[in-house]
Amino acid sequence: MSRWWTSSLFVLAVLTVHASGLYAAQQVETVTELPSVELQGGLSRARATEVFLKANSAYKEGDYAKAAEGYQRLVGAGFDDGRVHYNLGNALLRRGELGRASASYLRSRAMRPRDEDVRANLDFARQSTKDAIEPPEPSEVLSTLFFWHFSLSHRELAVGLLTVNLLFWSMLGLGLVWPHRELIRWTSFLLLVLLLTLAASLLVHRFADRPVAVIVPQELNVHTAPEESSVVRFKVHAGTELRVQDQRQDWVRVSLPDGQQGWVSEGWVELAYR
Amino acid sequence: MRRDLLALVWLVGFGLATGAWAAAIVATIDRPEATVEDQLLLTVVIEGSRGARPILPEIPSFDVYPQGQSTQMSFINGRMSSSVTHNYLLVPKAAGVFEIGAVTTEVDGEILTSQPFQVRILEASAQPQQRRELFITARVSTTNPFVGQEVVYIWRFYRRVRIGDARLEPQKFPGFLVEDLGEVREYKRTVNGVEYLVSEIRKALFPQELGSFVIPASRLTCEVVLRDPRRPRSIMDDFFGAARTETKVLRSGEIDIEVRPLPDPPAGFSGLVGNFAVEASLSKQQVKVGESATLRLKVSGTGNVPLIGEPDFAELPAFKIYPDQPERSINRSGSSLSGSRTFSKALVPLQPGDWVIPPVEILYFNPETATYQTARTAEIPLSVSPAAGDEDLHLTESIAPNTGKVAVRILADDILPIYGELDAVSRSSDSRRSTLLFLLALIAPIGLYFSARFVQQRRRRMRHDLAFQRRRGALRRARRELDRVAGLDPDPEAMAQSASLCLRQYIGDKLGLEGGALTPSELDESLRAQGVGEALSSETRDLLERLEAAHFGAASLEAGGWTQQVATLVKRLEGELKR
Repeated sequence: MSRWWTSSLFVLAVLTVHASGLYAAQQVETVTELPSVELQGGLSRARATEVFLKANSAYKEGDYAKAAEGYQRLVGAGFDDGRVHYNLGNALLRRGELGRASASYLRSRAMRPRDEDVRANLDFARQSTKDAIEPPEPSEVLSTLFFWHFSLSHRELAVGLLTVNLLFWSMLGLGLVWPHRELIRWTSFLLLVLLLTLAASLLVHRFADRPVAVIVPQELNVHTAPEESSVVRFKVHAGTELRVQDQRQDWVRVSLPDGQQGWVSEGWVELAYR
Repeated sequence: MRRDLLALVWLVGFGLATGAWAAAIVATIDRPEATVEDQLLLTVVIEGSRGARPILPEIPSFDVYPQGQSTQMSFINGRMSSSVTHNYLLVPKAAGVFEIGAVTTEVDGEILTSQPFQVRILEASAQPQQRRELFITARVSTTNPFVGQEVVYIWRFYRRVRIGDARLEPQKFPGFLVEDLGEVREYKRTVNGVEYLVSEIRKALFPQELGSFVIPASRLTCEVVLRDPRRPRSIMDDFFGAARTETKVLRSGEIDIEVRPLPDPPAGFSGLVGNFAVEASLSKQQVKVGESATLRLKVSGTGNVPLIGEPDFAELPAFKIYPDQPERSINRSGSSLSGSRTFSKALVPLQPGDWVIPPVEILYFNPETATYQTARTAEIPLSVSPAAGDEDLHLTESIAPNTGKVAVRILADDILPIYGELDAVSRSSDSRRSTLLFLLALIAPIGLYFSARFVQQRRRRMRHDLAFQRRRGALRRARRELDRVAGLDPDPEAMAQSASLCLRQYIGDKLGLEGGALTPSELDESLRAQGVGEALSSETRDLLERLEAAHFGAASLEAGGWTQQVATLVKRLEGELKR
């Protein structure tokens, strides 16, 4: 029984450390999203609904700039639902801002990983890019083997973890009443495995996920060093997604699928997590 | 070998005391006259010293190949003579009369020199080839080519004796682009009634610049197996390597080439020199709008085929053109370089009508006629019919002709529409609150579980551990008892007795003793043993003693005073014992 205690307490410790990190990461994401929009404090829910409706009608009337501004305001005020990001992506794409649109779709997909519309529009945006560079995506084998990791959003994983956590400890509680029931013992064990799996998944998202840098300008120089004066190694174009290897001050080190690396100024890329 | 051994025996027998003969150097050549295709054997004999090395003079007209040395020793009239023979193969570079200078050496500090002599080297043609056992020739198809014209270089090695270990020095062709024409060919050929085994190497040379060039002589070194006419050749000779061999160095003549410029090239000259043709073909001559037909342009010929580029192709506004990767084939097995390059294009008509694929031309230089010539394809008609009515909506192509089913082709693509659901903005994510809620939700079940476990353990203990039970309930029971006593009996003596009993029972419960049976001093000791301070334990003993005195009428006090004092003391004891 003491082994149960050790593992359970370990899970608890890990998750407690992780939990603050997970939400801190989401917070960073929200801030980096909107370099141009003023964060005007919170919006009331009624006001947010009004902004959303206005942005939707602006989009339908073809005023994509106004629509994008509305969606950005919502995101900035903390209404960063996957659908808002998706709508923002649509408005930006209609305005011809391919890079920022792709970044919005990627954020939307992180929140709604099984949404076919998001996937279709992201594919459309990717097809419009100039560079023949495959976007950094996990392999099919990997995403099939660890399906829960890739097809559940952070929020879903967190809710799942809480549910399993509740079930696990309730089952241990039942074990106090009926200490010798095999069924309870095996169910607790299975729940512990599930709990560890979900916790590991969240931890991987927190510590192993590297953001993707989406190129914003039509053409961008990739330098050999994090300085404007350094040699230009290669050029990439709007909408191209590159793997982020490192971040230093205002510079991001990116890599191509063939391993070629270079530095770009952070102001010219949008960072998005999977 | 036997002679050497004998010499050694003599040397041991007579000792080294005997003096050597006077030192001398002699240089001789095997014949005074030869052709440029022959080689001469220079023999240098140094007498009187076995360690001396000859120093050859500068012999710029010959290539010199050292052929090893041999030592001879002899004793005549008790005097020992030793001589060392050094052999050199001299291969002439050109015809003429040359002087071989003096060969020098140093023996015991004395400089010795040989006599110089003259050698006469004749042109190769001065000696009929059929008399020779082996020779090489090199010739070219033309010595006066145009820039870019193919020059075929043919090198042949004739032999009618057995040779081994043939080594051909790498041939250089300065000023030429070189393409190999196949592997080495071996065949038999009769020259003036004598049959030779011939090895032939062909190369295609393309002059890159104007001017005079020299293809340097090629040189081949081989070992010729010598036959002893007195002894029939045995298979063992080969097997044990017993056959004697002689090194031969063969040399071909140099070839002078004068490269001519091309006449002034007209506009559109492709850079091709040789004989070329171009042909065009279309995969089908009747198509519908949107379907594709493949146009193949093939440029082929002999000459500088590696330079074949794509011919100019007229723009066709009525078509979309998708070029394919060109295919190249070069044939090196023939007597000269030939090959072709095929360019394919998919033509997709955009408008219906009768169109003509215009002729394609290439302009090349023909060195045989020394003129520029044009190769041209014929015009190809192409009839484009409009796409059939319904199929305009979804351009289709048949994938299964038998069933007549068609694959749907996507005409255009666009993004999917936006979301309108208002619940997209139903929730504002406050990260701090979310973190807090997450942590709470995570910890709450764990807290609940541990609480339940704690309660369960406590209950279990209460059920089974009587001492624990007494200890836990001591204060409660003492208070209840004191309350009961205070309200029950106003008699001070009885009250003192009850209060005393109550205090002793409390202490007994706390310490796991039978409190009622202990004296005040025993209780004092027990309390001290449990870590209760001296002041408090003495106070307890005093109170108990006073209560006992009151019980037996020795002291008088108000009844309420006793119970109050006991209650205060119990409270203090509880605090002390908990610690």
